[in-house]
Amino acid sequence: MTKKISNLLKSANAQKNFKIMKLVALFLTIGMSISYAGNSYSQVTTLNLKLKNKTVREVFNEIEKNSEYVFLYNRETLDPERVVSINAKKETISDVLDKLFEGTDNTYKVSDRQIYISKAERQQQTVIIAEPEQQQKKQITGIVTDTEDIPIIGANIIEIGTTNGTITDIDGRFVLSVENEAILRITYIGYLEQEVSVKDKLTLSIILQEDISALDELIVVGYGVQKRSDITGSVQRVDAANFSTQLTTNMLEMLNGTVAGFSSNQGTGASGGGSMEIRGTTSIAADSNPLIVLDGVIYNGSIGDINPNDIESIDILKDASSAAIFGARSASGVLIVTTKRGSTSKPKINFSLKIGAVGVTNEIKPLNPQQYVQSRADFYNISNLDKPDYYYSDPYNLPGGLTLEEWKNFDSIPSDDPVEMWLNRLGMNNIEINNYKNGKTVNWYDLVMRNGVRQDYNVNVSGGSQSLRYFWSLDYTDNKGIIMGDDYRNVRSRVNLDSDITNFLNVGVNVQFADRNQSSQNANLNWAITASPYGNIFEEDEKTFTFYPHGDQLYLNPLLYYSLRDKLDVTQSLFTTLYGEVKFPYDISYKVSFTNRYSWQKNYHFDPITTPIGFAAQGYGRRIDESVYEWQIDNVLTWTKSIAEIHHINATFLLNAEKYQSWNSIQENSQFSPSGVLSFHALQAGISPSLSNNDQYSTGNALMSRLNYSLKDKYLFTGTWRRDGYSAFGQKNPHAEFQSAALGWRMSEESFFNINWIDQLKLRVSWGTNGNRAIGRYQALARLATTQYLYGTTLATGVYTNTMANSDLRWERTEALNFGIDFGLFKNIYGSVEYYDMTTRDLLLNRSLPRIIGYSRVMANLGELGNKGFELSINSKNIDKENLKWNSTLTFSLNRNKIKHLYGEMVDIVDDNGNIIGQKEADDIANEWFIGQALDRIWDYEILGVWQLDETEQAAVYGKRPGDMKLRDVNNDGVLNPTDDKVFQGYKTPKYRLGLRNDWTVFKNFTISAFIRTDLGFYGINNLYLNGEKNNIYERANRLYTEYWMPDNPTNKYGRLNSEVQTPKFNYWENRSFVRLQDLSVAYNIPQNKLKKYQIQNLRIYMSFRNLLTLTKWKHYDPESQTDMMPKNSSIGIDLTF
Amino acid sequence: MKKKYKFFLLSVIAVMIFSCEEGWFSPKPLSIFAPENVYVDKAGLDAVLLTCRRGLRDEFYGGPSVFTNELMSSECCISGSKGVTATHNFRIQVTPNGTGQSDFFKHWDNAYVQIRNANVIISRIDAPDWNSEQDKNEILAEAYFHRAYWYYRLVNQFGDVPFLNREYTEPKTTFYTHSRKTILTKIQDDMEFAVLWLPNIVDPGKVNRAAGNHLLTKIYLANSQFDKAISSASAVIESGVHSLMKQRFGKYASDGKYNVIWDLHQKENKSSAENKEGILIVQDKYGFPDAQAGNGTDAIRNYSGCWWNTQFLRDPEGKSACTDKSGDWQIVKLGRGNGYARPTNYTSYEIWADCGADLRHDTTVNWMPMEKLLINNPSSNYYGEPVEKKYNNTIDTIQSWFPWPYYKFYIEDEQRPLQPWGGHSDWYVFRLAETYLLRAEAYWWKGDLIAAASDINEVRARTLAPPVNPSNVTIEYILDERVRELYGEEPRKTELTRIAFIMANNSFNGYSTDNFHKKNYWFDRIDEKNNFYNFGIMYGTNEYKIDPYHVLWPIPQDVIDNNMGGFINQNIGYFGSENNISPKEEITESD
Repeated sequence: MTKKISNLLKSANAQKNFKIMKLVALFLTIGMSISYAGNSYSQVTTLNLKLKNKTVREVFNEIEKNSEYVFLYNRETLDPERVVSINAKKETISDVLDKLFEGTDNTYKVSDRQIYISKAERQQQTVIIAEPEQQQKKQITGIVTDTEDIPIIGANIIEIGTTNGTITDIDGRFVLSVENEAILRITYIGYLEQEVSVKDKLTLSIILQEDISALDELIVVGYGVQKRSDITGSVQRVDAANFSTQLTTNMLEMLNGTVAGFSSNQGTGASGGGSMEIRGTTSIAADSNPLIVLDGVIYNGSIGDINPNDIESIDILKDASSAAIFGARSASGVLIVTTKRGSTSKPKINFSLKIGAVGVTNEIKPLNPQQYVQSRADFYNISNLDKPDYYYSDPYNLPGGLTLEEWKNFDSIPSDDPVEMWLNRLGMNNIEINNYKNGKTVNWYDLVMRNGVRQDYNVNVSGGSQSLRYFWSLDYTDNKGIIMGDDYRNVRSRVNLDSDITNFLNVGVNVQFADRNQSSQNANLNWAITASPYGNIFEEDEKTFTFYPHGDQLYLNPLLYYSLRDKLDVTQSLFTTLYGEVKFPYDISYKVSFTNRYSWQKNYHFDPITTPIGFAAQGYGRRIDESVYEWQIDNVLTWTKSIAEIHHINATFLLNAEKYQSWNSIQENSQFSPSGVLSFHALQAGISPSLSNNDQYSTGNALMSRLNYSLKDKYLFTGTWRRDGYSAFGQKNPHAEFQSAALGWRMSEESFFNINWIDQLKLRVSWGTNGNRAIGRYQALARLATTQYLYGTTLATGVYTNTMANSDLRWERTEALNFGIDFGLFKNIYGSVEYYDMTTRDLLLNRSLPRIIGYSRVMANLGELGNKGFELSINSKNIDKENLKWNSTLTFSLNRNKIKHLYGEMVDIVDDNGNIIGQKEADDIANEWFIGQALDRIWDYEILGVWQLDETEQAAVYGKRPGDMKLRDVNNDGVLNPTDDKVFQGYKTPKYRLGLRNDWTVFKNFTISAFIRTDLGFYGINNLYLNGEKNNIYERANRLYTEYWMPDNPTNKYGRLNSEVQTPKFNYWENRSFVRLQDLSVAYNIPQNKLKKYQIQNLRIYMSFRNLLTLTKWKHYDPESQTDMMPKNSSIGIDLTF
Repeated sequence: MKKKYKFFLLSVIAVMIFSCEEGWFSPKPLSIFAPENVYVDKAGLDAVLLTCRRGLRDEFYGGPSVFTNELMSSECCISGSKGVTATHNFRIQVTPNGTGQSDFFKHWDNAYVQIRNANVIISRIDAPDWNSEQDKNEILAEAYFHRAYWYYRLVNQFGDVPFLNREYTEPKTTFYTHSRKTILTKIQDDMEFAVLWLPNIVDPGKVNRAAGNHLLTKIYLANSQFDKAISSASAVIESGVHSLMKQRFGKYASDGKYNVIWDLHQKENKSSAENKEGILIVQDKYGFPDAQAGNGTDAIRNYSGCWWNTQFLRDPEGKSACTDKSGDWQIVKLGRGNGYARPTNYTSYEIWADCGADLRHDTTVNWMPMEKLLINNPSSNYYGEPVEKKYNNTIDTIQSWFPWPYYKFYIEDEQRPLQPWGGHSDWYVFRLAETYLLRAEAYWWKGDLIAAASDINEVRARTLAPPVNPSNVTIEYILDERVRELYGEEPRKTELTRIAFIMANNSFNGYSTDNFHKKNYWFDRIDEKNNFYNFGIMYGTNEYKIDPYHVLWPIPQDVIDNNMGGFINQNIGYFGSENNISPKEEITESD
């Protein structure tokens, strides 16, 4: 029902023929609150009317006012200004309408409370342009429906190349005489245009696809919905249907790079996910994650517990004005997630299955056995210069002229086993020597890596009657990442119920349950890299895992904990919202919702004595139990009023309260006796117990009001005010207020606006302040920590002040100005341009203190941070033919960040002669925050290249040797110190982000979509170039393969093995810019006619790929995940609807 | 209809919540103590003292222990690590921005954190309702002790530093440096008060009056007040509480194989009631996971060699001589050392020349000479025979080949019994033998060589070492004796720097405070005795190198940077010192 109405709304807006703006407001406000008690309304309801010399429109208004009837009509079919008089007493609607239309060509149809007015059937033929009948002509009858089989009323049908055409009636039917070979074009606003050939056909059944990205969709704006055309802020919608063919474990995977101004990097583990940030970093120390609002209520749970298959849409509120209604927590933007709900259609079961293989975008492997031996020889060669060149050469592959005897005689007492002598010279230990001699090698890398598998099974059932609508889903995700033991399972279920109790009260419940399991322990990739290829997996018994595969205690067996640690890590969460909505007289409605979130986590593990930790502790077990309970109540009062069709007012008031509680217990024990066989199930079996509790508590509340006002549908205004309270700031500043205002002008609606190729043009400007409170609950307090000590053998507990108090701590505030233009061009391009300028003040930050005070940091409100940016989104319909459709979406964004102020401490500016020539604000060098620079600015020594042999003396000035990195000594004083010699070089986050999505539909049933993502102009640390690993790794362990400097390979890019990188410390910054084909999917819809006989409504099969192709100069694993491996997924799936 | 009421009720509740906002917003720290409810009585302030006492412990434990920094900044040791971060080249690696693997700034942080804790007590001493002046002053006296203990260390490690006279409850970035002399005067005053109130007899781990007098003796010496030093040292020696252990005692008393020096350093005996020699002993015992020190002393790691490393020591054929195979007899007996503090020839050999029957160098049970190290690599053809130095690269012996006092540093390892690193044990901070040596030093400064020799011989007689003739007592001899007796217990750099300052302050032997960073006794002694620094020896990535100005460690640059409103001086020789201003010569209540 809702669907049908919204279709009508779309039509109304575009064609300006309907008069039902009032209806729009009504429906937007009360949503589905009109109740349908049955079909008998029109039979039992009677009307009393006495009107004289009124227009038909006024009569309709009167009827609507006194009943629940709603009139729907097209101005072409009805003259609303016709003056009539009517007198009815206790008459049914049919009687009244019969009188009203007597003598006209209008007819009507009453469908429950809706009345459709159209022209009588016979009149329709008058639409056909009178032309002499010709023999080729034939009469076509047809029906136009949407994908849900609901007739579309008023769709235009035109015979291409002629002026011949008609529109559909209230049943979606039409009749038209056309040429034999004619092609019909069917158009309807809000739907994609379609062309149909009538060749060999007399009847047509046309299904129009909804144009889901149109300007007139309903956008969820928080505590209500708005038509896109009425929105004054910067809001971006992501339609989950676009991602239905992708194997998404976490909804963030839909958002990686796809929305302008929303930056998100992909996660690399089996749990998927990723990072998120809207419009740059607005905070230094506080959390910069956007607020998530799930079905109208603030969601503090794990994003991983929201099943992406349940999501209908995600609306991203980017500017201050639209986010301001969430005041205290909205400074980093808001993500509004709307899940699917039931409709009154017949029950539908949808089943989908997706299975994918997971690989890696780019692999770097450890040295293979040959490289390993060579690298050790090279290392010793350049380290032990007192030995001759050939001392470390393979005795059976000696360079020219040298005999084995000569080679052996370099040692005082040569043995008769040159291989053993050689390996001893290379510092190999017994295990390695034995395995080398036996030709036994281990490929540790292959042992810890695997082909990952992702699986997702989802079923949902939806449907409902007029008084109860339901949606229920159940999803099982089972992911195995690319590293052994990186497993993730999640069972997620959701029930959304909406019920109309009476025509003024409806209630509902949303329940989300998730059972997340991450019980397995990863194999350790780092240890797989360091373990020697000549090491042992097992001890001599071939079943006990070695602790140290090649006997070096610094390098553990990568399989140890993966194989031996007993682990349980399960989190169950329940998120429920109960709501009720009451419609009061005078267009007032009131909604109350009560939200609960529970979460229970068990994180247990046990290390048996067969592991190093367990061995040292004679068994070590730990249990962490944490439960969280929080609730919030939202009271929302809405008043909607239209005055004289010109003024439309929507006022919203919110009263909210929340409370958070969590309980955390940690139990540890060791020295298990008689054994640790009971694992973490019996920690009492140990004799060295340790306890720790951490319970937390916080409260908050909010008052909010919002006014939306639109004048003549052209001039739009939104204003909000919000007051928040939060206990973390409770000592001196419990409250904060946030305001916003926004204006919109739909320029294209003006009568003077007559640029044909511009369909829509709206200018927006908004201003507002938002808050951030994301700090620890007790950050404002001086906290004492406890500690224990012994006096002899008597245990005692002491305390110390752990943090400095700051009772003045208050909200961080971001003030933002946003300019936006929404446009629609040439009927097939629409998009928006945004410019914003944000300033964050009272930054919550851990300011550095001189450590002598006993604290190195204190949480404080200081400084000022600016973010400016530009965003562009363009959607275009490039080709729209029956057999080929091509749509593109382009997003572009840039953000520029700048630290404007920090602590306000002034320091002198001194010229070269030591004279004070002025003052400037002091930087925070310890944190590398500089006034006037971006937060992500890189400040480091500049690498000029590598010191070469002929530069030995210059290098020695800096304590360096040939093969070490040459750093720039800016002031040429022969000493490298940060204040003088570190320089600004580039940025850590992308300067430009681009996304391009293309969707093709070929032969109606094939769809292909491709998403290309580009992040440009940023740098990351890739210290592989330096060959400066710690712990003498070059003579003790293996490592990732890299090229290295040698006297006979004097590269200027790579350091020598074990190059000096500690004094001073520096990093190799490498460009991370990349272009990546992030998503590619191909789907095939099995044609409807083949499915009908199996009772299948819809069947789709598809393949999709993620991270198929990446172009970059970045030489470590992946430019996005830097020094972690990035998964590369290929999946297939099937989607079945009964 | 029922639901309707429920919602109505909920909204009423919501409104009610708003009407009682005051209580609604008070932060409730459920699991966290706050100053307001803890620092209000004796128990609360005493709980802070526990943290201070525990804080005395940290530097001795873990590997590399922070304490080894004191040794490698002296004539006694170098950093034996081969790692790229190991602190070898002071000129390049010891800078205001970092000091390499051996993090000298941990001393700075440890000290200032404990100063903060002591200041909490000092500033809040009047908060409780005290039962008696005695109660109050006992607590205050120990707080003064801790503050003085750390400032005594700081002024000898870093020179002029800011003195914090109170607890800071709000951010401050306007600190200034106080002169070393000002600080020493202040802590002398504080300790003169403290020794009046500290109790005579306390539980192990707490601070008694003798500990107070012992510290005061060091402060008097630093202030060149030698007579007062003699009397405060005498107060300890004559207290009746403490005496040198001259007879066998404790766990091994009946085992004739061992001797009193062995007994004195066994973990079971350090805090035992029988032991009268320990004055201040930090506590660490296995089996108290929240009270024990991390993984223990790691004393084997810190003070013995990496002989087991297959890359270092060789048998005659060039094969690895030794192994650290778990449970191997030699690894269990010697432990898996790592030479973080690698002794110099001075420490290993020179001071033991002509040592006679000195128990501290008794090679049957107490001292581990390298000749006792055997080849334990099963695949060697020389298995069980002694390892010989001549088959090895000299450079490889840095970390792997040196003798060590087994009786002090071999500590049975409960957590790693098959490859011991040095387990949990108490550790001496102050021991009466040092009090004797401090008094001897004071006598020496006064020129009373007979009294000095007498005190030294008290210590030597106990270890069966031949007595020293008064005419042979020099400051060098006293320093040698301190190494023989107190290696691994005394903060060597602190004491050596203290002596260097005494000489400079008294224009002794041509030393002066004017060019202290260029010429000082600390450097001259290193130059003479340390056979690694400044000989061009390269080990791992860096050469062993040290300069006179390293007599004072650098002030951490971030402390200077973060103190934007004030000014903290850098020590001369390090970059940034050119901007120094005169240090403050006065300590006020508000500092």
